[in-house]
Amino acid sequence: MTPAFRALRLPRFIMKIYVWYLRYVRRDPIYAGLVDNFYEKSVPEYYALIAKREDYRARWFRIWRDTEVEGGLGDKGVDFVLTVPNALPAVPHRGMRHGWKACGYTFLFNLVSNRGNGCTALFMTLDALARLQCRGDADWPCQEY
Amino acid sequence: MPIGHVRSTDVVSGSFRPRNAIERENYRMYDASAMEGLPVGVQVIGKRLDEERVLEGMKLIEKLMKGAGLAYTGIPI
Repeated sequence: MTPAFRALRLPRFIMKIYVWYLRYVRRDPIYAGLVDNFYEKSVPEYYALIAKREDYRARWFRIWRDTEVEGGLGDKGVDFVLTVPNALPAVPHRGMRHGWKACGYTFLFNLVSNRGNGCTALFMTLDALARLQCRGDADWPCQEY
Repeated sequence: MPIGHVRSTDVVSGSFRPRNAIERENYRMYDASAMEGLPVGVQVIGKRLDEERVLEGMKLIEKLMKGAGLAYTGIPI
């Protein structure tokens, strides 16, 4: 987290230059989007984001309730979702210097469902990396936000 | 919940190219031979205040894995 806080203290225009570099020189719009939104929000921006988050949670809730499982909807529908937690097993020492950016699912599920009620999600990692072709799950919840 | 372990054969295929910086840094850390034996897991997501259902789900998965002869065994210390 230390590099993240260091980045937060940088002047905004330096971050903007870095975003521009990532987006147009490195051609990495996903990481550029993440860096672009990484700054301290003003109160109006903060409330706008809360509204977006609530809207996202409502959409998530509707999809959860409206998914039919063996003929049942709502309470008789989806019981739980089985997913992968993090991209890696335990990382090497100092590995979280970069590893924290890939906690997309942790962010996502904190955002949508279990905010403030402790541990419904339990961790570890995935196998069979050779077959893995989905993109790093770091990016999309952050993009949504 | 833990479901298995990293095997030394779980290597990234040579044709894999990361598509963004986050992916690249995380794959750089991954090393199947150094990480061999580390626990690997799955995540069970339930609705808010639905912990019992999630725990039942975990029990179900555990039972199914046991039934398939793939029960999780802890790392010997």
